[in-house]
Amino acid sequence: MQKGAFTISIKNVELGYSKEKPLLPKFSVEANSGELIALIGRNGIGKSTLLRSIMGLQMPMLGSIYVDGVPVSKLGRKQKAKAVSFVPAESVRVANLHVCDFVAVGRFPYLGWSRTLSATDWEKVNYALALVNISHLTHRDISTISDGELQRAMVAFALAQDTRIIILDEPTAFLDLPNKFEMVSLLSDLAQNNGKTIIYSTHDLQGAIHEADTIWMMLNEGFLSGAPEDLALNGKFKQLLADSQVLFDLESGLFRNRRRSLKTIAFEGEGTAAIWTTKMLERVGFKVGSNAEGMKVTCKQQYSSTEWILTKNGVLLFKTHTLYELAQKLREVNL
Amino acid sequence: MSQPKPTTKPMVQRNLALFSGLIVLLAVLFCLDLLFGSVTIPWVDVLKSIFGKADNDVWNTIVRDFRLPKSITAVLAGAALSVSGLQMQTMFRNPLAGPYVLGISAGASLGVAILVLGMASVGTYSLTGLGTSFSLAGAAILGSMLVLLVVLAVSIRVKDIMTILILGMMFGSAASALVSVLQYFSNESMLKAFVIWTMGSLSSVAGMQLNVFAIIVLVGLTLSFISMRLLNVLLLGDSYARGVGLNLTLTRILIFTSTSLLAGGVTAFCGPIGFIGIAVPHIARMIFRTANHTVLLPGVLLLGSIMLLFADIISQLPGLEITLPINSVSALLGIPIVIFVVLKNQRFSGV
Repeated sequence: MQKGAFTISIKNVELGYSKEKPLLPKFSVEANSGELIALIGRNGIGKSTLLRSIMGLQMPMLGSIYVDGVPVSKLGRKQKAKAVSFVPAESVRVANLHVCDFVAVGRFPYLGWSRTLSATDWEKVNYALALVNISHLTHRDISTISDGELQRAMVAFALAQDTRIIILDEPTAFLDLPNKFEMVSLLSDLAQNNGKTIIYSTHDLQGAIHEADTIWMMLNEGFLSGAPEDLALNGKFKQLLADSQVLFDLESGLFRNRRRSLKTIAFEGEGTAAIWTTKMLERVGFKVGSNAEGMKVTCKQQYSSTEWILTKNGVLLFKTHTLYELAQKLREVNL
Repeated sequence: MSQPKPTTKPMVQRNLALFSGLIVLLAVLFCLDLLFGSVTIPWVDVLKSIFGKADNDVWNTIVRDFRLPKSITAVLAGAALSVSGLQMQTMFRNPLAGPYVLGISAGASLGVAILVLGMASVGTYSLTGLGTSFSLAGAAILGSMLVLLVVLAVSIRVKDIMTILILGMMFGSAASALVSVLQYFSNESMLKAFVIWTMGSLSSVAGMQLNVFAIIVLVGLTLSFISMRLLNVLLLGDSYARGVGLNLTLTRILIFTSTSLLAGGVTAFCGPIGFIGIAVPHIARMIFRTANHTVLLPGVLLLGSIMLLFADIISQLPGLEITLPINSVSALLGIPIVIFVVLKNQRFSGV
């Protein structure tokens, strides 16, 4: 492909602070418009450094980064601000700052010498607020809105800046589960419907796997890029989690703790209750299998209630209607 | 279809009402300040001496050569201190920053201390002379400019604003330490002269000095209005400022220069006047309920003048024979406000 076909093109870049010890080996990668990219990697691997380099705030040790075919280092301050917008991780909690006044600062690169916003500028501000569904908060004090609303306002800021590329530093870090989900799907919509290239760094692998078009993975061994599904099939998530206690379950696409199963226990049961019972058994240190030392859990579903029965060599040990009580009993027995 | 500009009519009307109210209040306090003093002069004669000539020559002199310059000084100094306080609070995103946070007053004190204490101990400087307050002002300006140059040099090289703040405070402390050394080696009368300077005074600025003072303050205020909209960007922090392409170094130089002219000018001619600069921006935020500097800056300017005029009226209440030092009055007025602000938002989150 020819130069300029990509919104961002990273060529033979080496990141780090000393030539002898780069953060990770040289890499090249490209990003298209309309693409939502999740940047993942362990703490300290250089995610922020990469983001800062794309914004042109920091020069990579080697190689160069092109935005629309032009090296970032050749862009002027204002040109950069019109090409790439940045949503920092730190939240803006300034008392008395109205949401619209905050978002209006995003128009700064387009303002003339007087730095006053024209009617067109205000229209862009209103449009940005509408795109992230917080028009009703226009005149609210930004220090009084919720974390989810604030993160939306921060995205509106980037939209008001009207750039083709939006970079977000951990936009979901302080959000609760529904807000995390909504934030990532908002970013996905913006990428698809508005043709933006959106790169966000995150530690929320689960969200990234389900919503991102592309995952950029930074590992000590090197840089990986691909559709989340490709990375999963090629066993790349295992590599990311190599020296940790976390396992990636290829079938469910879920992450779980690596546990040492000490004892084997027999289990009999069906349906959803069986799945959750197995989860609990693993949590308290049992592995389900036939080679049990006489221990067996049976799960019976009668109408609306579920009953669990624990037996040893056929002798009834315990009966309960909650997994909580069963777990307690099993821990006791295990001791 | 909603209006393009999202400022609602009630907000605009409220701001207009507030500004009109503040202008009226400023005018009233200015008149009261002219009226009050250790000599009782009827208000008709006060007006006469300003616009024509009163029957009593002494009254003429008192009003024209003392009270009028003092009131004008209060208006200028109050505005200058408060505007530079607002600039520093926004720049450092710290509600307790003030005009002197960069060590400007400490630098000015050092200049004055070298002049009064240092020169006097060598025997070449006498406190009784026509050029006394002018040379005091000159020394103070040199001292604060020295600190400013160091801070500017640092801010060009250092990117992190908190590092600049800490270095500014350290330079200030170093200057204060040098002042203490000078105090230790000076004689009693010189020491007293220096201490009186530190108490601040609005009444030593008149004639030619008032012109120089007014020019310094007006240049400082002009720079602050030029950088008004840049403050709106700085308020969000350096990451946002860089993200929208703000030239941080240039902006900092512009604002530091403005603040040094304002705070340094006031310190040079009136001595260090504390707490007005910290307290007034908070009052402005409370009554205007906005963080937008295009509203805050003119608001802070008016409120600052009002506060210092008020402090000056209190310092020489009718019936009181003596005049209290303006620095103490401004501190006693400002400190409760700062305490209120600190207790109100205990999280210390932003300004």
